[in-house]
Amino acid sequence: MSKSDSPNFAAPWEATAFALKAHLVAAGKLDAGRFSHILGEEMARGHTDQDDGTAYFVAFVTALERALLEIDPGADLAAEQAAWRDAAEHTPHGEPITLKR
Amino acid sequence: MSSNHSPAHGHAHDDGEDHHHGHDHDHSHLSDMDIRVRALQSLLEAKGYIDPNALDELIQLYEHEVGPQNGARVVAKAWTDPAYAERLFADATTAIAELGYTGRQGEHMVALKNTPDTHNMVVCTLCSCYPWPVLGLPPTWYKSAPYRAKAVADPRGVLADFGVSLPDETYIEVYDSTAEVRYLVVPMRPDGTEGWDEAALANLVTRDAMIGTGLPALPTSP
Repeated sequence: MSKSDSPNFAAPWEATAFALKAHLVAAGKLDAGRFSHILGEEMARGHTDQDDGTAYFVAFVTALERALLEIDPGADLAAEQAAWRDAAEHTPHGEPITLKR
Repeated sequence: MSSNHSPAHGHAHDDGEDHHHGHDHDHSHLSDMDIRVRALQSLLEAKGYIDPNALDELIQLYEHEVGPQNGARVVAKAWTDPAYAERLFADATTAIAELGYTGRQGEHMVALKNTPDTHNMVVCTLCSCYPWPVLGLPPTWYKSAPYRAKAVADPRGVLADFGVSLPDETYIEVYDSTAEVRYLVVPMRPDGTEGWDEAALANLVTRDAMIGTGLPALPTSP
């Protein structure tokens, strides 16, 4: 077992995901126990490290997506992701990527 | 969609360089994970579930302000102030809040007292529950499957992995954190620190000592 440490967040998206969960719990929108349960399931599922992040936070984000769908079954994550991908492709390199609504 | 590389696999070329290497477009690129998190955030914002400013504040807080130094202050105060120690072991959530550290997610805190007879160690077997308000973000190993399994099955072996050996007669008690209850281990005050003030003592209190996988640093000079 390794005792070595790595930075708290390997990428900004990890920090954002962490904060989203903390904020949702603090705001009473997400039950902490329920999230722990989902996160435990995802951690057991063997997600892998990414070029820009850790397996743990891949599990964490997957758990957040599942939690969102429990809170709001109508949420269309795929469409929202497609909108972001599209926004990136229409944003010159180096400029902030924003979603137009 | 013009891109023919899936973001998750787009970095397979071995140049170790940025993602648009070899491509003739110069638009922006987001990784799969970045897109998934942005989508979560924008959906939650659109629904009014989250406040973007509060989110930024939280990120700042966890990146810069919340860390094991908070827990170290709690431990050092308990070492020097018997009345505080009594309050801490009776109601840790309230005693920790006295120092200004409060959980934003309603965590109930419990302080575990190490003694010559009992050494306490904390794990979350289910996922990664951790006493954020006093220790900040968990280290990578705390979230790892080997630690989560071995802490329960072989706590003495875990301590050995961390270079810690305790007397055979010391009982090792393992506490399993949950979303509702988080534990802070209060290690024994090192010998040779008589007369030290709280700030000097706090410097000896390591994060691992407060998880129970380590001991306080050895005193050199106050």
